[in-house]
Amino acid sequence: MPGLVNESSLPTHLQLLQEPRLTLADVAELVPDARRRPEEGLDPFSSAPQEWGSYYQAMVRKTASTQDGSFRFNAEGAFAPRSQKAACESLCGWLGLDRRRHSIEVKAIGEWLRNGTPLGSRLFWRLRDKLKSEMLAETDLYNRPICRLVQVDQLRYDPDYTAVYQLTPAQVRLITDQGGTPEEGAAKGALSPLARIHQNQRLYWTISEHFQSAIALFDSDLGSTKPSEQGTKNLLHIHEQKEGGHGIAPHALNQYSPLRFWSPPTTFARYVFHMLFWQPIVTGRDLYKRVFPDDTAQRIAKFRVAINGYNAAKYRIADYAGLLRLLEELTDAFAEHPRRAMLAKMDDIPLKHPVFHPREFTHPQLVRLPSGTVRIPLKSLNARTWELTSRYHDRSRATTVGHMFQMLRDRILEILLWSKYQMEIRSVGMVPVQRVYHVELTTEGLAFVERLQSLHKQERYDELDEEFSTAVFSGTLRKWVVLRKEYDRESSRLLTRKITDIQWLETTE
Amino acid sequence: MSLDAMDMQTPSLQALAKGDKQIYGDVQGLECLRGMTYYYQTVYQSIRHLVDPRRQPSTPDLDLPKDGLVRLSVEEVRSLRRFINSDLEQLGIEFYLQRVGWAMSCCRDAATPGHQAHAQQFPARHPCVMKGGFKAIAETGNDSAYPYEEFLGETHAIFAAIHAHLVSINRAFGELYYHVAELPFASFTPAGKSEIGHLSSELNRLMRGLMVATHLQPQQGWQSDLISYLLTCRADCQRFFETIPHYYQMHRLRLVVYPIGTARDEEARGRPHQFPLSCLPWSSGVYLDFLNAYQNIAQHTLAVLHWSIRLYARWYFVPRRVLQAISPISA
Repeated sequence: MPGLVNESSLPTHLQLLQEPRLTLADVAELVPDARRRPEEGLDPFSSAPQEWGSYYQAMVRKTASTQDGSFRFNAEGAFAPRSQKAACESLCGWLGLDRRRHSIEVKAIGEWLRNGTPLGSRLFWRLRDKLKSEMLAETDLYNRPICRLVQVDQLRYDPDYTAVYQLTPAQVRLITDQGGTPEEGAAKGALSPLARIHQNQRLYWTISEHFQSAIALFDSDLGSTKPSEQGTKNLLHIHEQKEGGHGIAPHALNQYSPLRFWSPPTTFARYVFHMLFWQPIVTGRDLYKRVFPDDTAQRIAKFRVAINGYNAAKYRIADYAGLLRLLEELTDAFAEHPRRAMLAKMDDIPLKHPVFHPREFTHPQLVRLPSGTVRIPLKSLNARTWELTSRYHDRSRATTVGHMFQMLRDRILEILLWSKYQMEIRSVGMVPVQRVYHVELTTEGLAFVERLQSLHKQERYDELDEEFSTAVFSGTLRKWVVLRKEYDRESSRLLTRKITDIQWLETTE
Repeated sequence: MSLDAMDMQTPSLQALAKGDKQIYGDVQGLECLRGMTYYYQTVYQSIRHLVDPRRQPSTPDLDLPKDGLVRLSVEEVRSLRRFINSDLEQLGIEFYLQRVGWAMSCCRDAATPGHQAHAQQFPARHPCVMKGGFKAIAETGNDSAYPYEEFLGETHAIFAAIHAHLVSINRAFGELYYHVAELPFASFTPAGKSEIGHLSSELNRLMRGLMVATHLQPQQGWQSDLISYLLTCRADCQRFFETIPHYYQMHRLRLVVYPIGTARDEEARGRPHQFPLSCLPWSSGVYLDFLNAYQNIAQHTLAVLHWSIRLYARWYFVPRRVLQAISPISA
């Protein structure tokens, strides 16, 4: 294990990547501090300069923990701070708003946090400007490593070319559909796989890259296999323009998206890894409700860490300012209506802003015909209560515009929180993996997991959250996770079936 | 869903279908390649327009602008390419599903009179005359006879390579379009423009070969011997490379060969003098960039042809001499 005692002996990230074993704490050091704008003291790879929100998804509920506890979400994922005043002060501090000089703006933010009252365009502009200034740029990542947590059944090893690939979601889906369970087969729907792929391709040309990136944001019922009866689990529908064309929800579009999510090593080691890894280890089900084996060692063995080098051809950094613009447009779409207006009585809202649609190409044939439209389905759904907003009101009450404001507020807060940690770098399509690491836990780590599993079994969720968040933010957890190198493209080490359980691409020859 | 299955009521869709027939011929197109096809058409027609504005677009039913010149900014081209390259990610899956569909049809129509004769005439569209996995589906009527996982194992490397080359070709199209739109193409002399026109026509022939190679279907009836046609395309690419030094040599020769007298003398006599291309200083570098872009496209096309022949050999008989010809160690 490399020693990282003092800065003068700190290995370069390339030297670290040649080591056969790394701890997660080492992964956090894979990128040396690089001051992008020394005059402003900004360091894109360190923690956010002001820790007003540290976000991760806990095992059994979504929580947010900060140094001063400003931002918290309840069990359903709705924003529920301990103190509205503290949350407002924290956010205003980040935006550089002074209570005396910017009293109107501060009041507006307070109202927004309290009940979702839409912020004006000036405040949205301020938020976007702040996001843009703190974002990673592509040049920050040139030739730098980026990381992803994958499951071993998503990887394939090509023995002829000694290369490891991660399958795209479409490939995984096709493999699963053909050899899947009856329940998965029943969920196929009326369209054939080819027809579904073609529909997705047509509709992807309809929507902007920002919207493609936001698909996960609107996939509100992540991982549920129960079909939505009235389509009220998703905010947006994308309709084909031709007559009789039916709409699909973003999560259905997401099934064939070629996008995958990576993150810089610092954010991966400090936040993203924990967001994805611990839930299935402790509870036996991941974010997507996929079932894991009963044995803890087998659960751990399903995971791998992939580390690649960034390039601008295959990878893109999420544009959080653009995503915020998208949510701003959605908020504006409802802003003209009174808070108490019932959604079921409102006309559908078409969304035509360029942030939803790609730039219009001069030549219409270059955009697949027929193109689609994006709309918020309201009256056409004829649903009195929306599942999407059920966390904000009693199920017996009708969903109103006010509830939608609260839902959008929480989505915006998610973007602001996530953006602090630059989690999202998207890769497109087939990506050969350069380095693959086994995930292992030290003795202390295994004991920690046992403790959490026990708390989970006893349904002592508050204690579980407390122990977990302390371990994450103190950095202790990083030392208990060890990555053992399984494959390195540069050394072209051959993988045999004895040393890897990554499935081989088999031929019939 | 093919274009044929779409609503055919609107004139623009009808024109599109007619234009498709001109481009695709007998090929049942893969949707994931459609964007790339149209992208190439816009670049090609734009070059033809600049070479000779009097010439009409060769695919008038494609509803191109009247003058054939499509106006796109550099940013739009880059954005367009991202959508096209995203589509290409599905190439292997669509290829597999298309043939699974054909195999199911073969299974249903096996006893139909004339099916066997049709299969012999158009083997590329009939998995019942293939060897290997798709034939198993045609015989059993069950797609699990040749599941996608198995197809992936046999062809993943090939489709990964084809995909990489197609992405590079798209990038080279963008470079061509950039040269057309951003650089002083219009100031080329007639000699220069006609040379570019010749090169573009040659490239268009190569692109037809690329379409056949990526779909593994003949575009015209006389291409039914697919492997011979692909070898012909391969020879076309190599001949294309051989002409590049010729154009370059002509370009260099013009740098040193000047007419006796000067242009001013000619103008004084009332006859404007036409300079060879490279005597216009601002166009010489551009001309070499054009040559480079064409060569780039041809090289990647040649690579795709080789990979396509390897793919074809999985399911059809391919003579040993052909495999030797595409072997890396062949002469």
